[in-house]
Amino acid sequence: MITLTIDGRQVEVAPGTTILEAARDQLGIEIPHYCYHRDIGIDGNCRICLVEVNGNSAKLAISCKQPCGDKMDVQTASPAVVAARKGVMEFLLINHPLDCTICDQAGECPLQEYSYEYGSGDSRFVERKRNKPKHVEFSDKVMFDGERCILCTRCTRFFETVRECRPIGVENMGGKSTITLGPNGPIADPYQMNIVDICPVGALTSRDFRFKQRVWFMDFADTVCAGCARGCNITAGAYQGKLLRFVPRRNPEVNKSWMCDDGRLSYKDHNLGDARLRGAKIAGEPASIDDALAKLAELVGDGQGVAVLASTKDTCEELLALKTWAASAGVTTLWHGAATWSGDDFLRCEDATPNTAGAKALGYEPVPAQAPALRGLVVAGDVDVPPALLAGLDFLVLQRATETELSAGAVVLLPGRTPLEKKGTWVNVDGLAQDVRPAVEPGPGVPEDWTLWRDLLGESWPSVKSLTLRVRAELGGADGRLVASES
Amino acid sequence: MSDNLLFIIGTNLAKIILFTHLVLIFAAYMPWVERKVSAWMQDRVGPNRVGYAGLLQPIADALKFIFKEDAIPGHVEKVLFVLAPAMTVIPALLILAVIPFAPPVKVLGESVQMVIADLDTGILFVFAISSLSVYGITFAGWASNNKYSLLGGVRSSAQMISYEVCLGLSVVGIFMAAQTLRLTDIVTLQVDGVWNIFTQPIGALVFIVAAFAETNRLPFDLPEAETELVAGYHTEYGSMKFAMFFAGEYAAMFVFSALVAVLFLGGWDVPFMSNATFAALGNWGVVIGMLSFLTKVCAFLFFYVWVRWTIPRFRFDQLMHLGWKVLLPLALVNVVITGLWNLP
Amino acid sequence: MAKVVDRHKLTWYEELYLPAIASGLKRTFRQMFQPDITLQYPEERPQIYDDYRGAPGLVRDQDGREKCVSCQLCEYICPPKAIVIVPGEAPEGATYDYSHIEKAPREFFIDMLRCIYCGYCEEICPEQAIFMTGEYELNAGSRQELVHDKKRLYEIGGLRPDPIQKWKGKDDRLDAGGFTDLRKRGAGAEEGE
Ligand code: SF4
Ligand code: SF4
Ligand code: SF4
Ligand code: SF4
Repeated sequence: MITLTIDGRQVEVAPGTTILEAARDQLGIEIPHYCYHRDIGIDGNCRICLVEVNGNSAKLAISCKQPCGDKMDVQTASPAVVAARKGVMEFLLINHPLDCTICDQAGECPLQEYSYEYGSGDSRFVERKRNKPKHVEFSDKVMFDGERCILCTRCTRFFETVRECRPIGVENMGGKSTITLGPNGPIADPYQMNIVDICPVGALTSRDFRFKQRVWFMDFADTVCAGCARGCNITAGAYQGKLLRFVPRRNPEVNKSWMCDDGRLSYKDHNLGDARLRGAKIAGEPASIDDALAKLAELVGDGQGVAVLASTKDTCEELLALKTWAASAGVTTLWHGAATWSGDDFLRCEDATPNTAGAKALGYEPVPAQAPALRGLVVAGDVDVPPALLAGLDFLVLQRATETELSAGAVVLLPGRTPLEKKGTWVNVDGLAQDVRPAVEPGPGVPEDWTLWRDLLGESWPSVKSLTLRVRAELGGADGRLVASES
Repeated sequence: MSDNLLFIIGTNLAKIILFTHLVLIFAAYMPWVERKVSAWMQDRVGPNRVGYAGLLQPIADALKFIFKEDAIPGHVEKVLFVLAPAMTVIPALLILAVIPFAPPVKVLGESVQMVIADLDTGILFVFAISSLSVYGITFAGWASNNKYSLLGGVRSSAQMISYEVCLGLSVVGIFMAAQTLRLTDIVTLQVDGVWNIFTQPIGALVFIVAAFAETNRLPFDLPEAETELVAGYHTEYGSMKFAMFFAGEYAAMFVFSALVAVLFLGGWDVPFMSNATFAALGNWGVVIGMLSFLTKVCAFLFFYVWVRWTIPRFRFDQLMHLGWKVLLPLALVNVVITGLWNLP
Repeated sequence: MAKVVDRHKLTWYEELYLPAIASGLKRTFRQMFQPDITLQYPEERPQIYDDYRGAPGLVRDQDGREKCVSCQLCEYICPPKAIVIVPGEAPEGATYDYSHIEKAPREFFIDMLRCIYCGYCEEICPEQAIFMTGEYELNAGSRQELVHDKKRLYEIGGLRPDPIQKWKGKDDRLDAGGFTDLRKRGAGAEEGE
C-alpha cells in the first residue's frame, strides 16, 4: 500500500492507482478531465487534469495518468494548477464556436462547467475562429459538429477499446485536426450512440434527441432499461410526462457506462399517448376498477381450470402480489411470458424482457408446449399470449397498458403501467436484483399494477415497500443483492 | 291652516314626492359632480363619454348596478346583510321630513310650509334619526363576516357615536339664542336677522367638522378606507345593494348640507331680503327661496368634494382625539359663551 | 448611532391647523383651473418611445432570416413562465447558413395573459431575436387569442436590421479553411472549386 497526501489529506491506495482515481474514490475530489474516461481508459491529451506534485509548480503532472507514489504530496488546486487550467481552458475555447445557444450539450457540458470555474469572461483572441465541418451525419443516429470537438478522442477510443472497431478517426494535423468518418461510410455499430454520452462537448449529438428539449427543463429518474434481460442502468429523461431519452447510468456490475442503441431508443415504446387504457372495461364497456375486479373474482370462482400468464416486464412485487392472490383464489397454474430479440456477446441478451429471472425465482413457469385445456386465463402485463392458450376459453382477462387485438375477446380489461411508470424490483440475467423507479406518471385511471391484486386479495399493504421486503425475503435463494449503481 | 283633510294629505304627498325626488336626483348626480370636480382638481377630464360632458353617466351607472348579478356571498348573515343597505338609506331620507326647503307657499289661498313635517322638536328628530344610520353600517360590517368589513363597522360606530355628541352640542347655542327647536322658525329668524354662521362661528365650525365625520367623508372616511380596509363595511356588497350604500351616503351628504344651510346659512334667505319681501313676492318668493336654498346646499356639497382632495385621511387615534379633546370642549365653550351673551 | 431629529415645534398659529387647511383648499381650488393633461385614448395616441416595453415579439433580420434559434433561454428566464417553445431543426433548404444554425423554433408561444412585460426575455436573448415592441393594445375575444404563436410574434416583431449577422457567410469560410465538406462527400457531389 502506498500512502500519500492529496490537498493535505492522507490517503492509502493500492500501487498503480492514479492520482485522479485516488482523489475521486478516496476523497471525493473531482479533478477536471475531458479525455480520461473510466471505462475507456487513459489518454492524457486534454491537459486539464493537471495537478502539482511535491511542490513542483514548474512541471505539473496529469493526474489521470500519473500513478500515486509513496509519500507524494499532491495539490489539486494550487495557484499554479489553477493558472495552468485557465491556460488550457483558454486554448480549448479559442476555436470553440460557443454555440451553447444551439448546442444540445448545454446544461450538461463539462466545457461549460469548467468555463465557469477556469474560463475568462472575455476573449483575447482577435483572429478569426477556425471553421470546421458542422452538421456532419456520422450515421442515422449520430451527428457530428467539428467546431465543437475538443479532440479528446474519447469517441475513437470507445470504438477501439470497447467495440474493437474503427469507424471514425482523426484526420489532418494541428489546428486542422478533426474527427472524420472512415472509408466504410456511416457508423454501423449497434452501440454507437454511447459516443454521444461520452463526448464531453456537444460535438456528437444524438439525432434522435437533437433539439427535442433543453435538459434543464427535463425531469430525470434513475431506473433500469426494460429492453432486455441485461437490465442496463439508465437515467430516463422526460419532459411534461413524455419520455424523451434514455442515457446509460454507470454500473460496473451490469453495463459499465454503456447501453445498446435499441435499448436507448426503446423509450418511444413507453410513450403511449392516447392509446393508453384508462379505467377498466367489462365486456367492452367502461366500468369502475372495483366492479371489474369483482367481475374478475366472480369469473375465476374456485380457480379450477384457470391459469395466470404474467409478463416478465412486471416487477417482482407485482408478480408476488399476483401470485399471492392466485394462491388464495385457488389458481395454481402460474406461467410467465417470453419475448426475444437478437442478442450479442456484449450487453444484449436474447431474452428481451427485464425480469425473467425474477419471475422464475417467484415460481412462475414458462408456458408448456402442450398446454392443458383451460376454462379461463388471466393475463397480467404486456405479454404475447400464445394462440394455443386461447382456444376453448370461457373467459379472458387482460391487464395491460394498452388495448390490443386480443382485447375484443376479453371479458375484463384492467389498466396497467408501462415499465417506466413502475416502482419495484427486477432481477437481471445474472440474478442481480435492481431497483426500478418511475420516470413518468401515467395520469388518471391507471393505478399501480400491484394494487389491483392487493385489492382482489383484500389486503391493506400501504405501499409497494411492504412488498419489496417480502420479495427480498423470497429471493433469498437467488442472488438477492441490490447493487447501488453509480452515475 | 286648513281643516280639509284631503287638502292636507294632498299637499303633504306632493311635498314628499317633490323633496324625495329632489334628494334622489341629487344623490344620483352627486357622484358625477364628485368625479368631475375630482378630475378637475387633478388636472383630468372626468367622465365625458356618456352623453354631453358625461351627463348620462349616472344613468349608465344605475343601469349597470341594476343589471349586475345580485350575489350574496355564502358566508354572510343573510337577514342583516340584506337589511343593512336599506338601513343606511332610510334614515337619510327620514331626516328630510323636517328640513324646510323654501318659504311658505300659497296653495288655493292657503299658506303651506315647505317642509314635510314642521315639528316643533325638529332638530331633536334629526339627531334621533341620524343616530340610526350607524346601525346600517355596523350591521353591514358584522353580517359580512369578513375582517375588513367588521373593522369598518366597528370604526364607524365608534366614530359616529363620538361625533354625534359634538354635533348635538354644537347647535345648542343656536337654540339658546333662537329659543326654539323648530327649523322653520330658525330660518325665519335668520332671514330677518343675521346668519347663524356669524353669530355662532365656533358652533358652525364644530358642526361642519362633525358633519364630515357623520357622513363618513374624507378626511374621516375610516370605515371604508380603501387602502387599509379594502372598502370596509361594503367590501362584500355588489350590484344594487352596493348602490344603496352609495345612494345612502350621498343622500346623507345632501341632508347634512341642507342642515348646514338651514342652521347656519340662513336656509332659503337671500341677502338683503326679509320675510316681508318674500311674502310680498308671493309664490315667486318661494321659487327664489328654494333656489337660494339649493344653491347653498350645492355649495356645501362642492365643499365636501373640495375637502376630500385637500385633507388626507386621519388616523383613528387622531380622529378620536379631535372629537373628544378638541371639538367637544369647543362645543361646550360655545354653549357657555352663548349663554353669557344672551343673558337677559 | 441613531440620529434624533427634533420635531419642529408648532406655534399656536400652526396648531390651529385652520390656516393650513385654508391654504390647502386654496391650492386645490386653483388646481381646478389648470389645463387637463388627460389623453383621450382611442382618439389620441400616446407617444411610444423606443425602449417602451410593450408586447414581446420575434424579429427577422434584413435577409428575412428568423433570428431565434430556440435556445430556450427566454423560456427559462421568464419569471411568470409565459413562454413555451417547441424547438426543432431549422427547415432544410433555408436560405441562410443552415449548417451553422441548425436550430429554429418550430413553435413559439407567449401567453400574454401571463407576461408581465419585464423585458427579461429581450435582455437574455443571445441572438437578439426577441424584443419588447411598442405594441400595447392587446385585445381579444378569448384567452386562446392572447397566447401569441410564432406567426403572431413575427407579425409583432417585424424586421430589425442586424449589423453583425454572425452566422452569415460561415459556410464559405468553411471551404476556404481547406476542409472536405463531409456533407458534400456523403452526397457524392464533390465539385472542384
Ligand atoms: S459543447 Fe458545451 S461549450 Fe461548446 S457550444 Fe456546446 S454547450 Fe457550449
Ligand atoms: S467528438 Fe467529442 S468525444 Fe470525439 S474527440 Fe471530439 S470532443 Fe472528443
Ligand atoms: S428568442 Fe432568443 S432567447 Fe428565446 S429561444 Fe430564441 S434565441 Fe433563445
Ligand atoms: S417580458 Fe418578461 S414575462 Fe413577458 S415573455 Fe418576456 S420574460 Fe416573460
